[in-house]
Parts: sequence; structure tokens; C-alpha cells
Amino acid sequence: MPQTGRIAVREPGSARTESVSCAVVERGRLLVWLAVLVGLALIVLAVVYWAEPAKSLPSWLPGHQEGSNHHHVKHGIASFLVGLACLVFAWFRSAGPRPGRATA
Amino acid sequence: MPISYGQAILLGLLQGFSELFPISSLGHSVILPRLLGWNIHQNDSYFITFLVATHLATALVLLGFFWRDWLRILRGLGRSLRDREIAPDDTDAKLGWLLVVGTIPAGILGLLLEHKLRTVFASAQSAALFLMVNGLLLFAAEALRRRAPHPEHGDPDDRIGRRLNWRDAVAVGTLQAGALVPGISRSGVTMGGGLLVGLSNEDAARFAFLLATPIIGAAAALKLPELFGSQGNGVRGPALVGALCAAVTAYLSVRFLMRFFETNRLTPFAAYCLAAGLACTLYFLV
Repeated sequence: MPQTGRIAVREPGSARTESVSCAVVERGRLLVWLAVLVGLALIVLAVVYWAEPAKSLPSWLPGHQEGSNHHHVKHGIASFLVGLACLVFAWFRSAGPRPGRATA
Repeated sequence: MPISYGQAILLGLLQGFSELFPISSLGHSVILPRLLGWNIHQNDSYFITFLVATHLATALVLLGFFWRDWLRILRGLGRSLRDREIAPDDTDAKLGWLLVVGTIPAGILGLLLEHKLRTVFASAQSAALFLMVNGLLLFAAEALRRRAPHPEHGDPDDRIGRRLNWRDAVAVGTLQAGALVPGISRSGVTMGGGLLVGLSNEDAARFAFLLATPIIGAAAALKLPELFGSQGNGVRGPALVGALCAAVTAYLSVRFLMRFFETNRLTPFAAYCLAAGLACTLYFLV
């Protein structure tokens, strides 16, 4: 059964409390899961960049180069940083309502 | 020896102050050897190794100068991660996350574009042209600034935290990537960006220096193996001397600039970049 009604939430870093619909909360949850999935995928990708030479990378990945033994360390670092940022975003967004600050 | 000790001293002194003054250290490191007729080019592996050492010294000086602030910022980051929120009154946490958010895009762009841009814009002529562009950007930032250039009171971190939102931090941080082009100044574009999003000169300089520390430090740390590997053979001595000279001028520069921007503007640096860029361009043409 779909959830209806409104819920009071507070944005991180803001003193303001806002009333939002449950659909918005559901969307927020979806965003958290998406951020976790993308974050983990990017961290796995970083490991692939560090472990595999350019010739062994899948052809659809940036940095793939036939016959090259070069390891794309920088690509790996970039991928790792963005992955980490996604996980941190998910960590903050998934924080539940705090006592005395949010009401259903 | 590819770089003499005399050259190392001059380049180190120049790097230390031009990295923090909004006048492009990379541009000056490219132009000066050409002006003095030295056989040093920015894509020579030994010169890159030398620059790693001077950049590392600059980053360490910045870290040392703002060490109390960094300690507060790191504690704020830790608190916010533990509590899973950035409390409205936690200035350190807000500033810390603004710096993180501002560093990520510049870091990624730097990692992916640094080599390509270094190859494309390697010449002293292009560095001189971009030095003029840098001057124009600084003039434009002062002309289009949101806030009147009055001295301000209170805690600067609190002011930065209140005036910058996440989008502003991303925008100002991304501008740092412009410094990959020799002639465009990292501190110049970030200070200019700070003015455009509503910071005062003093706060824009503070935010620019804090933002520069992790990027300069990480870029240098990433290339440290080159300094200690075979690429560093024959250049480690001059690199160490250059790094010490860079550390001295970086310290004097940051002290001077933090006071200078309490009451002054970017305009003198804009005029210098425009004049020096124009003079060098004409010199290289004839």
C-alpha cells in the first residue's frame, strides 16, 4: 500500500524544519541506495584500474589501449575519490530523524 | 647537472612566492628559464621532479601556517561523520565539507587532464599569453564582485561557512583546475571565484589557501616516487635547495598576503600579470 501524508524533516546543516510528503522521503531513500551502489561500483573500478594494465581493461572503459602495459593509477584515484564521495553522501542522507527534531 | 644550485635557488624562491601570490607559479617557471636563456623546459622529467619538491615544500608551509585551523577542521569533519549531520552552529564541519566538496572536482580534473594540458601549453609564449588572460580574469573578478571591499569583523570561518553554499564551493574548487594551464594562477582564480560568490578579499584569500593545501600536497605526494626514483638522480640536491628556498618565500608570502587582503584588492596583481604577460609576449615575438 503506498504511504501517504507528510513528515517533518530537517536538512543537514540547516536549522529549518520542513514538512515533506512521504513520496519525497521514498525518493530520498532511493537516492541513498543509488549513491551506495554507484560508490561501491566506482571503488571496484578503481581497484580494476590499479590492478590491470591498459591492454586488459574492457574496451568500453576510458584508458583501454591495445598492447599497453601502463597502469592507469590516476584514473583509479579519480574513480576511488568519486566513489568515496558517493558513500559519504549516502552516509549523511541515510541518517534517521533525531529525537525531538522530527515528527511524523 | 641538469639544474645548477644557482638556478635551483632562483627557481625555488620564485616558486614559493608565485604559488601563493595570484600570478601563476607554473607560468613563471616556464617563462623565467626562457628569458634567462636556460636550457630548462617544463616537460623535462628532471624539471618536473624539481617542481615536485618545491610544491611539496609549499604545501607543507601552508599546512604549518594553518595547522590550528586544519586541526579544528579535521575535528569538525570527524564530528559531522559521527553525528551524520552538519550541525548549524558547527563552523569547522561546514568549512571542512566545503573544502572537501571544492577539492574533489579540481582533483579529478587535475588527475585526468594534467598531462594533456602540460603537453599542449608547454611553451613560454603560451604561458605569457595566459598570464595576460590571468590578469584580465583578476580585473573581471574585482569588477563583478558581489560584496563591497570593506574590512570585516568576526570569525572568518564563520563568514565563509555562512556565505558559501555547496554549489559555490564546487564552482570555486573547479576553477582551480584552470591552474593546470601555465599562466593561469590557482590562487588567483580561486580568490576571484570567492569574490564572485560573495566573499570579501580576506575571506576569499583564506578559502583559496585552505583549498590549495590538499591539492598541492596531493599532487606533490603523487609524484614523490619520481623524486626518490631513478628520475631524481642528479637533481635531488638542487631540488632540496630549491624546496628550502620555496618554503621560505611561501611562508613570507602567506603571512604578507593574509594581512594584505584585509584591506587590499586583487587589482595590483591583475595589473602586474597583464603588464608582464604583454612584455614577455612582445619580447618572445621579436
